Amino acid sequence: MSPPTRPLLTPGRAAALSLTLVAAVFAVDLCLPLGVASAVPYTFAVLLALRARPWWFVLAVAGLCGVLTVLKMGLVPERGTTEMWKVVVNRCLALFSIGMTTLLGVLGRRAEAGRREAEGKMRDHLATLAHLGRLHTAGQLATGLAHELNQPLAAIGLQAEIAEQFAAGGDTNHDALMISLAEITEQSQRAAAIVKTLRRLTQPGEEKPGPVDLNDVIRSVAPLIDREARRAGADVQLHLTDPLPPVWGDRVQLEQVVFNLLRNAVEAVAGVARERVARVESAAEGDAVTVVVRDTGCGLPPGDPERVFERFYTTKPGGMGVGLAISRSIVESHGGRLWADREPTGGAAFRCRLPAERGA
Amino acid sequence: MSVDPLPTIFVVDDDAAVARALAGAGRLLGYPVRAFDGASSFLNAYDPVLPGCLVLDIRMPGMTGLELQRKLADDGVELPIVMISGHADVRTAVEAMTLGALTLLEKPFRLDELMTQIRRGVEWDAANRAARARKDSTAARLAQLTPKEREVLELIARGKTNKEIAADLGLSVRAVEDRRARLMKKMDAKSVADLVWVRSAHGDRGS
Repeated sequence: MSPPTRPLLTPGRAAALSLTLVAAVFAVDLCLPLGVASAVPYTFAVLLALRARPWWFVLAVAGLCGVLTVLKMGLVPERGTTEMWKVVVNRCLALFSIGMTTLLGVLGRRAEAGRREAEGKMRDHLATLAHLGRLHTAGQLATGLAHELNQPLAAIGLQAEIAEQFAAGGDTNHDALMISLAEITEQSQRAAAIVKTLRRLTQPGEEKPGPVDLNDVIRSVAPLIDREARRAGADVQLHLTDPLPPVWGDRVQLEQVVFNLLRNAVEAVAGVARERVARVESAAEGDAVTVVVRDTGCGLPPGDPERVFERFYTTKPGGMGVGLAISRSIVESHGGRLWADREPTGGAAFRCRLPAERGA
Repeated sequence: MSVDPLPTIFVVDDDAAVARALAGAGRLLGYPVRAFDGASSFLNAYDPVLPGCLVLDIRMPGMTGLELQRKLADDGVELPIVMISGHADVRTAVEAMTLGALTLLEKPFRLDELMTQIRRGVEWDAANRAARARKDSTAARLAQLTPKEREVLELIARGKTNKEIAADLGLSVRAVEDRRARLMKKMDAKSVADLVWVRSAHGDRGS
């Protein structure tokens, strides 16, 4: 995510250097007799002009060089022992060099521009995919969230009515009333935390990169998969090492990665006959933090495990095949690595390694 | 007969907050409550002798509510079940009801509804256990009958008179009357209708 270094040869500097070179070559050319091929260095001025802007600057310099090359013949009559035809051929060769350099330079520059445009398009395309992936995730999250919110809401509703019953019954059960009220407060906070997480996930870009505790990320994402996990009969287990050194990055993006991995794990264990476990582990290893998401599911497809990270590669009906590709690009943009392994039990393990933030 | 234990409300929900609220409702009704965080911990602790009602979350990690319901049905446990669901899709709801759930409540629901259903479940269980006990004692009484008395019982059940029975079995009417009296006494029946009802309630094993 570091900004590209500023090039030494800016367009402005290139233009100035190019014109200076033209003047210098012309001056030297004027001092030498007609027979010397002193106009050839003009080609270097053309090469410099290619780096300048606007696009026609190189044509102007090339034209100027051509004019000056011919002009010298009129200004310096001294040609020594050289025959006139040799002088003309000499000058024509210089003109040819200037012309060819200009032509090849311009063609090369156009090819470069085409390549840049293609690259830009590719980047846009990836950004669109990432956005689509996020919307896809957000859609699934919204349904998961509806269920997840239902739990505290159901508890709050029941406890409120229980409290009402106690209150209506007089002062006989003060403790029970207090317990119900405390429960209501706690569950309201739980509901609020869920809403907050969803807002963060669906409205990216509001948060600036900063130190992120991956345990926090895992804890806030895990409840969102709850509904899927229940449907699949999957047991989601968290084995977190506390405390964990923070990593530097975009919390929302990292949440997206954990969510993708966890959702994949839960989907993988749905329908398998053995124990259905999706397990998230976090640990500090040297100057890195690792998060492993392993499952007891159907395992990786046969062949190279790397294939699952290819864009549009999917084994899921209705899957887009972008989740893992996006997750990997997010992890890599954080200076980390994401890879997949086969578990000895037949399931899959996705390992994510991110550099720990120093001195935090 | 020993004193019947008080009906217990069993709550099985993996969400601790919801489980506590469900348990609160059970206590409000004045019943002892036992809450479990999953199907397996319930199965480990449950004794089918205990009467009561089961309040069960339909979706849980590990063994789901539906799977627990099926297991109980397979084991012949007739504990009434009040199913709780986050959002019931029709298929799951139908499955739960087909498997014999008393009802299915969709979250969030009112305390009243829950308490009414728990009460209904407890009553249903009490009635069911009483019916079972009657059936069991009938079976025991039927087992006491001699083959000859049983023969007479079958013929009575077919609506035959003493005379016809005597002719069928080649006995005197007097002998049939004797057997009939013994039969009524052994079966603890006050009338012929009573006798026939008790016999059919236990199934037509003899005929």
